[in-house]
Amino acid sequence: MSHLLEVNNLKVSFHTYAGEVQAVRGVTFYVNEGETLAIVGESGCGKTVTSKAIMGLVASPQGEVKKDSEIKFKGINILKYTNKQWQDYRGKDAGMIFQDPMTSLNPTMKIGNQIREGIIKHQKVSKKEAQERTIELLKKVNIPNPIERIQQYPHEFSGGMRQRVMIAIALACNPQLMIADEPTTALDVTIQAQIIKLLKEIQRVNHSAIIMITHDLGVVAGMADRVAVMYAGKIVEEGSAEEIFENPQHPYTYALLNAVPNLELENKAELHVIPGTPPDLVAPPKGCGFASRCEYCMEVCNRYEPQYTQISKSHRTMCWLHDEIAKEVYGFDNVRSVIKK
Amino acid sequence: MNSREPLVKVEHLKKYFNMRKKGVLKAVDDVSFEIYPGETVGLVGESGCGKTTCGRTILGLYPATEGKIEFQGKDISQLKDKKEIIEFKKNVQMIFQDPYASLNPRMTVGDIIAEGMINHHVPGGNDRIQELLAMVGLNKEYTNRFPHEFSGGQRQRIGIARALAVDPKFIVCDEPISALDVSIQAQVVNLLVRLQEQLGLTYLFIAHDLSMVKHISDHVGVMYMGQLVEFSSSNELYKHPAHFYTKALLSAIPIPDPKLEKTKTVLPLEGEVGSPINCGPGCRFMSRCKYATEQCGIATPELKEIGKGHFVACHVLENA
Repeated sequence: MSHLLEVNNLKVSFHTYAGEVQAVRGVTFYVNEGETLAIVGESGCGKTVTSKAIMGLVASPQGEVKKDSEIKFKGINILKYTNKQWQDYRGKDAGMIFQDPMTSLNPTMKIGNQIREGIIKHQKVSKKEAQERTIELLKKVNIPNPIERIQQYPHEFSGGMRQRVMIAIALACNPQLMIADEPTTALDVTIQAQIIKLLKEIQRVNHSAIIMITHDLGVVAGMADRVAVMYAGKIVEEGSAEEIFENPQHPYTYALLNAVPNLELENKAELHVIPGTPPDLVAPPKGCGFASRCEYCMEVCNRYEPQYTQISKSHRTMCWLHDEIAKEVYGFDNVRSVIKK
Repeated sequence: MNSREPLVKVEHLKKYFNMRKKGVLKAVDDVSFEIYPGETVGLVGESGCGKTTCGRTILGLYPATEGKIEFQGKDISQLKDKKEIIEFKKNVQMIFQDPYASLNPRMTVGDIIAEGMINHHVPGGNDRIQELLAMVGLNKEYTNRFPHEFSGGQRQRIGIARALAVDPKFIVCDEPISALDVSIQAQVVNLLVRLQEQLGLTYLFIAHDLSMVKHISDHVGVMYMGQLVEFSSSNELYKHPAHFYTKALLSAIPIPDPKLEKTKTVLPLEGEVGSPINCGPGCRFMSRCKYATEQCGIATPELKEIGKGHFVACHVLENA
């Protein structure tokens, strides 16, 4: 089966006064139709930049998508698109839900016009039809009184409502690929649950693919079919949701899983922390990016970059602990059982 | 509960904001609870429910509209003596939500921490600043640096050092971790717990991340539209939630386990928080509560004890 979206060796850099920031350093993944891929990682690990590259929103000249990168949408490399082709692609083939519903809507435009914009751009419909479609979309995302609501401005909407409007805009042309960049981070848990339910429902009806970018592992567990864990501009582990949560193979992944407080855990017990901070991507480390924060760091980790090890057909990880020699020396299974405590 | 004297006692606290033509916004409406020394009380609720206003009013940053706040047995609105007021302000400190906005970008870290010490004539000078930095896990040499040179987690540590500088007894932590990444959140929470053990601090911990609140708090209060709907020890609250709103809130916490998360039932909580402007009598949760009866629309439910130290405000539960 060919994939809906294929990203091959994506590299994105930003040129700043401090030097070249290598935000994304060779990322490869794919998304199938009707499937949800979650990209997880800390701020600054390159997850948002990856999604912007897929939407063609990396601002040049500061931002640069490196030459040998490839993003294939239905088999066509979209990085070779002209401006005109990009405009057709955005909104119609791929829609994006941005992180902050408070700042991503135009405060001087009525809600109806903001949604209609995409419909008029991509579909040959009359104004009246576009209006009807807009109302339909607002109904779809569960906004009450859509007929009155389209005449209102963003400041008259609450955070959860605005996020729904954002989703309606992304949905306007039924894109096959939706990118949700931390769609619920700015929202309360109850509203978060509503939005996630809505996204799932839309996915079921439209059979669209979703790339979900988040650092909330709980949200990932509820939404994702597959998970890619990013660290310092690289995917360090990728697998199905079950594989990642039940059988994590990269020290960063289990450190992340352990950092979440468990409701069963005793109060005020020491939480597992990941000491230190992510590396500076102006001068990325020669070896493994996580080496300086890793509890199981070996000498080789600082010198050479690990390669991917295939754990199962869908599960791969990038860590020296999986090397044949390391297994002998270290007893990797023991390491994991220690962590699980 | 406890035989000791509470450090902070909040009684029927009300804080209304006058919105001129629009009416009156009842941000905090009749909230009562106690915080004992060395304990942490967590306040949770959706945005706009009045948790931050409650915290700020307790610190005296807003004058209370009605009700009483006692700190160490003294009503803070009755403090007349200047010395007493200064003493109170030295004893209560705050850690703010946004570490990017709460540090003055034009002051060095040393100046930021020293500001309170100078105002309150706390002795120690430079040595004390370095000691504080070490206490929050930062390098001693950072005193001459500016906030923009630090990451979010480090800035939050600076904010904590600033609060600790004047030897407070009581700290209001207003969503200190919401702006941080998961791994950094754990670092800051561990630091707060450690400092509490070392210095015997008392916290009011305001957050909307329920799992973190459970982790750090001894008691938890759930707020809805300016009112406390449930108050209990944190273990009891998470094991046996009584109020329908608490139950819905808890069921909405995403669990980082795909099998559990995909099969669990989220109690539906339709709609959003209503407007606290000019709200009438009756239970405020009524519009979102499927168990609501006639009585709920008539009178505001009061907090009633249903178990040892477990208080709930709900008519339906009361009659059941």
